[in-house]
Amino acid sequence: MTTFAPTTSTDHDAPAARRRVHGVLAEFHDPHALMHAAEKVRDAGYRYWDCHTPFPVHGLDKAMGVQRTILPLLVFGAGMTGTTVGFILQAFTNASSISLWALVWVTGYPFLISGKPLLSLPAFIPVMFELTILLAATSCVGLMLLLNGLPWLSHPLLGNKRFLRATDDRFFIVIESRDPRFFRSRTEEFLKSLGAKAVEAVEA
Amino acid sequence: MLDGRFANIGWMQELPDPVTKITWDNALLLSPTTANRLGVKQGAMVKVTAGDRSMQAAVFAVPGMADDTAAIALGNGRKEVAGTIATDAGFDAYPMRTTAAMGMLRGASVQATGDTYTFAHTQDHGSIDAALIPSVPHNSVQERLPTLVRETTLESYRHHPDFAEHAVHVPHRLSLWQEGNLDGAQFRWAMSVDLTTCTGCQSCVTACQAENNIPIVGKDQVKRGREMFWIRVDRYFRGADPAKPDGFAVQPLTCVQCENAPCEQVCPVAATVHDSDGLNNMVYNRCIGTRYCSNNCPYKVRRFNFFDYQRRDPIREQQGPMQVKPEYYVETGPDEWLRMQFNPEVTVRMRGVMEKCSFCVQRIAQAKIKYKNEWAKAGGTASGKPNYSIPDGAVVTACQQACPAQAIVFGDLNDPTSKVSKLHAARVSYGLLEELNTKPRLKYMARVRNPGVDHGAGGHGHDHGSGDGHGGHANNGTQNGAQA
Amino acid sequence: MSAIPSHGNSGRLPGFEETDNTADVPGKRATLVLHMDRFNQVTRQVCQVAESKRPPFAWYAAFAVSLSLVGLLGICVNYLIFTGVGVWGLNNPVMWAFDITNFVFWVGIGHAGTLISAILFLFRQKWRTGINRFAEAMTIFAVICAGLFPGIHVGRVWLAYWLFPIPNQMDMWPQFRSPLLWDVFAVSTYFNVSLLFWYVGLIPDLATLRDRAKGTIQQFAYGLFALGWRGSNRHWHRYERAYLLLAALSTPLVLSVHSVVSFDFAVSQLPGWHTTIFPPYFVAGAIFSGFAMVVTLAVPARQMFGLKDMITLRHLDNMNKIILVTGCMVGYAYSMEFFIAWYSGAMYEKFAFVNRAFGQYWWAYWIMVSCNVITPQLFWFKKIRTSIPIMFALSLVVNIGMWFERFVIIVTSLANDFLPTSWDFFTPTWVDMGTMMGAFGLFGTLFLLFCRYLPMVAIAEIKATMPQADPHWPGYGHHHGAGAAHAAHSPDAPHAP
Repeated sequence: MTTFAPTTSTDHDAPAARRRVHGVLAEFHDPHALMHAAEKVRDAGYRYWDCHTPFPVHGLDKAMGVQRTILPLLVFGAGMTGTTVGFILQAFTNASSISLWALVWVTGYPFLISGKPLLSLPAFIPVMFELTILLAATSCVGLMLLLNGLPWLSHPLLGNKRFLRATDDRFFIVIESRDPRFFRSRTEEFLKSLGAKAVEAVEA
Repeated sequence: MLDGRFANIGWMQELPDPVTKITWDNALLLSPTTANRLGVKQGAMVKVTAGDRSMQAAVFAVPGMADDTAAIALGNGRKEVAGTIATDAGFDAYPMRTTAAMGMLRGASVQATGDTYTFAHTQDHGSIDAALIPSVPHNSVQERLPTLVRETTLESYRHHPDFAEHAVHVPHRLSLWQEGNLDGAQFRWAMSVDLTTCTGCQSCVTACQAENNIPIVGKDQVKRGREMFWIRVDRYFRGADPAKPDGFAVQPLTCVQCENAPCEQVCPVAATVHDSDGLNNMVYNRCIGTRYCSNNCPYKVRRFNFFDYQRRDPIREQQGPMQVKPEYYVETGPDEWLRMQFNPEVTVRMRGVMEKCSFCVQRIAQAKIKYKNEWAKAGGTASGKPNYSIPDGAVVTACQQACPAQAIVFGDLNDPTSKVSKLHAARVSYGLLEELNTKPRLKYMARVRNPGVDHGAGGHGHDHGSGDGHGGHANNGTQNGAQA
Repeated sequence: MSAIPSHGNSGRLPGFEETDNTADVPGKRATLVLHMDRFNQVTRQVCQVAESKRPPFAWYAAFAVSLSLVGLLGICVNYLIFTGVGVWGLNNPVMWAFDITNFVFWVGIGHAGTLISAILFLFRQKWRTGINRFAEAMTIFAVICAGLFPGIHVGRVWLAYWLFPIPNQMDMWPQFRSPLLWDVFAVSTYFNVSLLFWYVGLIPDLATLRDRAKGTIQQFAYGLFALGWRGSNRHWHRYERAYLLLAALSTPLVLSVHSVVSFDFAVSQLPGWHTTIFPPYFVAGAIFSGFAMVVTLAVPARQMFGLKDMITLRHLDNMNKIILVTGCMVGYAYSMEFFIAWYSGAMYEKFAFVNRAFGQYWWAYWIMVSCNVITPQLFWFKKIRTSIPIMFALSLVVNIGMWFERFVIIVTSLANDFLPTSWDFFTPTWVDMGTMMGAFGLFGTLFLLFCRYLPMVAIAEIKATMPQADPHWPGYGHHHGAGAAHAAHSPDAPHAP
């Protein structure tokens, strides 16, 4: 069903017009219809498009062809950083007397504690563990938002009346005007042909 | 407090009775059997009548008292002449005293009035003996007593000179880590306490209080278990039946300055740490008061400033929100003379910090400065590393200084000829709770008694070594002298 | 507006005539949401609480009580800070009592929230979605209450920041061998991660509230915290990954937090504290008390705010089963402590446990055993597990029992330790009592505010568990015989108010 999709780039689309609309949205009433439509949009070769759902729909990533995020890898790195920071912090402050510059000059202060060795790894493990989790979790949330481009409070879609129900019970496909294959009338036609209950342009 | 002339001294009032451990009061002492027979409980108010004389006092039943005998210390409770501190402290026994027999009265009768009175104890709060604390399993104290206060008779000691080593059976004490932090230390300060010669007189307690600016907290705080003594003298009765104890033991206890101090590892801010001389130091201005160290101290020798007992700075007029004065204060006021009672060598602790025995670290420091200066003047600095030595006996702790029996010895373990080294090496020398591998620097010389012949007359007496005048002995038996 | 009448708050008595969905039908997806087959209904049911002009009278009553307890807390804490720790009943051997008891109690309460949100998530227990949001909220508020106590119990509160490794001119650092410092790191990490987890879950629901908001203030407030969430599937993809990762990180974290709290005791050498069984025993106890608290809160909340169709008997039944299991684990730990004390042959250990049961605080011990081990056995009966009044009462009993457990561990061990000469007895003062009550007030206030202004049930998550959420649901087949549910998807379904 790719007949409505433009085969060439939209050079006859005036830049002014492109600026006017953010894109075209199509409304669906259930995840089933959305998923089938998404598969078609994917096959049509669009790049700048997205589905908007009130909850994560199982299988939609595949239908859209979304690539796996690198988030877990980054979080792993952050966690390992936490472990290292935890160890260095404790070894430096409790087991060394070296001075180093960490924004200000700081010096370790080795104490004789209960006759124990200065560098005692078993005692350091809880704090290393906690810092691992702390860094991993905060960076997990932070990076998730960062990769998602959030917070973005003034997104054009948030101004659309119909789109209000994207967080309630409606399912949307939005094809953005910056997509090379975007051509307003044709894209609208295309979306209608996918069984959308409503199709409309979103003001930029 | 003798006949009462010293009753208005806080140190005297707060010093617990060596046997009953009552502070801020005197009590009418009865034997447990007599108290039972009269149907009076601890702290019951009674009226003592002899002829036309009578007095009121609260009863305290104490093991070792002879039956049908009542005793009370003179000097307390003299309302009209008591002074500011001794107000409401104790009961006046003078009304019972006659010129006929200054210290004794026969044919007195005791009658309960129905009121009760609360004593402030520093030990066994509210009970004759810890074993009798309501519903604490009975034999628990007696079971552990032989390991805490190790003693034997002379007869037995001759055959088993190693008895103290065998009082506790513990497997090899292995550490999870290499213990070597204190190797190569210049000094290893240590103390030895001879339980044979200690009489339990508690001079050490007051000496320590004077030396180390230890606050007097008052009866209410003692009642709540917040006395501040850095050294205390523990008292135990031996024997299954508290009414007829087999013996009586005392054990002075300071901070034992463990080499593997359990308090240190739990402090989150490193406010209690070891120095290179092996002392377990308390850093007051680092302490934030989590009190975890006290919880982890097996000897419970740490003391916490629950309130600003001293006021942060005794020299200054107290102002501001941090200086709220609860009624627990002993009002000293801005009196120049009272300020001068503080030892300028010792920090005055503010509220919210932990404190404990420091082995009189200020005296150690003074000695170190003196001998280091001498060493430096003699050209010692040329050799670099300080290798001066402090002669044995140059550092004397306050408790040691005050001990009339010379039971306390302090010195450097690194000096093999020092008295304390020799005492620590003795076979009767043992560390309290050493099975916990705390490696205490305070060791006890186990007690060796020579009980002699049992005369078979009455129970064992007890020793009131504090010099309290005993008056008003209303008895129809005889009061035995101290036997231990 | 809905074609199907709301079953939310139709005046049924608690425990009476509830739909029993507690039995699993083999081969069939268990019903998690009752009486609802449209996503829209879920949205409306949850949002109505935050959108209503005024909450039910019971909310005001509870809020008034909680707020006055917060006032009491303020008085007690101020008195404490300005006067000294001595205003509590602490004494020389018993240096910790109500303060740390309350701390451990509240940290424990928090654990159920994380267990529900993280561990049950990893185990794909879909029934968690009905209760996870407010269980997580409970976690956060409980950790706030918990954090209060170590903060105020120190002797010099104004120096408590020394617990953190902040560079300073004296080069003084915290002492990292202290379990108390591990606690600082564990509890603060736990608070941060729980807060993040909760907030991440809230983002889509805040967006829902934002999109439904009528007033400008609501729109702005919800909009600000929704961070511009617009349900993009590319976002959902990373969001779900992040959520999974958070769950995977929170699971060892929640197990570690109460283990670290137990290290406060286990790492010391005090008889009764120095016990290797403590970490698992504390974690089990924490989950036990936490689930009891969830039940305590869920029962009135679902009644008050009409959420019975989402927090169903099935949810409560499941939680009661967990209470039963963890209660048995705790009971096992109690008996094992005695066995090990006897088996060790150590004089002080043996005494510590005999003293617990028969010593000065025997009553506290037996309150603990009867509340934590004996009473929860009633949950073996399904009738009791599914009876609202009885489970509410039992959950209160468990809460009381778990408070006493911590009291018994802390106070009895401290009061009678090695040297009989230092033994003493702890008696609480009115400030102890007031601070304890005040913490409950603080918790209640925060929780009631949460109930009023935030979605109490995870809207997006619970929608995803409905059968219609699956694109391959048979109802979406071309056969229109899928039942009444299909009517919900007619294009003319009205927009929710």
